[in-house]
Amino acid sequence: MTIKPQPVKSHARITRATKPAVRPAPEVCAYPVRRFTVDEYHRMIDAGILGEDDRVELINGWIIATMPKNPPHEVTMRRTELQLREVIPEGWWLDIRKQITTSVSEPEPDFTVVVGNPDRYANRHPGYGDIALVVEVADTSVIFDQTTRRDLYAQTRLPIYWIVNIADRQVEVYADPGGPARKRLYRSTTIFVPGQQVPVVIDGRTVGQVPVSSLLPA
Amino acid sequence: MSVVVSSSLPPPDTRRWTLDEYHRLIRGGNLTEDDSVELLEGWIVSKMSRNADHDLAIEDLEDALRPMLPAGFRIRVQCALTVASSESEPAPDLIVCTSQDGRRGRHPEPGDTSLVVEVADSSLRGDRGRKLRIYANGGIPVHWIVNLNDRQVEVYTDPTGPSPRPKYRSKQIYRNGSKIPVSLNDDELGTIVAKSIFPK
Repeated sequence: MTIKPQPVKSHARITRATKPAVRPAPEVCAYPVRRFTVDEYHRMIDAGILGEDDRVELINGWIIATMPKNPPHEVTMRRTELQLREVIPEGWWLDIRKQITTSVSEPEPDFTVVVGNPDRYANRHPGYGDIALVVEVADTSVIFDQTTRRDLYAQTRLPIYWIVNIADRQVEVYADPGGPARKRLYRSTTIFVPGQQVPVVIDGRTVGQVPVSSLLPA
Repeated sequence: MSVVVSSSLPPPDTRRWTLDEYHRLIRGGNLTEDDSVELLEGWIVSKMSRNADHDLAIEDLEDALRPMLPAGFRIRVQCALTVASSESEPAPDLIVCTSQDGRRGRHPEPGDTSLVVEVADSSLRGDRGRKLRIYANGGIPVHWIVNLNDRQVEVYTDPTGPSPRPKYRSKQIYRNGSKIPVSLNDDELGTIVAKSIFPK
């Protein structure tokens, strides 16, 4: 099977304008790319090979670049932050674009509600058992967030995962992760649209309500 | 170590590495000899496992080529070749390159290399078109694909060199008793009968 570069014209033009013709055209990678363990990934960071300038996440062993964010994404981030800070109870902490560690991944969710104070994570990132809620703000990344990322969070048994879906103007709430060990899924999916309120559930307790319209760009 | 089980391809935006970063990963012990990998167009790629006929074809070809080579040329089998123009460091099945003078501390580069051969069976079908692109980009003058499935040798010449769509402009196919010319820098050294490379 040979996957030919697709004639995505706008993409090709950008590439040629920013880089001389020598670089290969970007395309969907069809190589069996080597996957790295969390431990190997940490060693690359410790060795400085992956540096501060690298905006990357480890997802299922793949090191992937995080996309630059556009203004609708960032305004939704700010709105969501304001709303979440209002309702998060004592004893919980709101992380913004901070890494979490799972068995084969180290993603950087847009928001993570984690237990305890920041010192709890002096020597490790939060992981399973520390996290009540994980939130992704999605525009161009929505397919990835609804598939690969959702499966990853379900596999890690993060109790509740929200996608604030800008394109479809809705908030998707995935909950109740479970099923056979390697095939865990969120068994509950609820869609909230403008005019509705999303319940914020922390550690099994509803601590507040957030209106969908307060999260999405006007 | 957790085992990752999935045959799916990597997501878009999988990070690409420069040759320099790749070499730092190797020097720093992040990639070791146990890691059977190549750098292909910036991606660190696991090498395919190979079957017996694949390796036998390399042996036969090596035996056929060796007596023809003039002094100063070497055969390397499944060793690294650095192609800087496409951020690649594949390990081709066989290359003919100039001997080591002047390349201590580095792998052969396209300028040292006269011929690159890949032996392709079914598992390598997807691999070969992309590797051809790397060799054409590097300007390696002659590239052979020994195609075990179709029992033919495809000889590619006249590479574009660095280009957004690198390719070889000429392709000749040799089968059965036809004689494949072996040339180094335009000097014809001899010929190899196509069927002699394939299992009986």
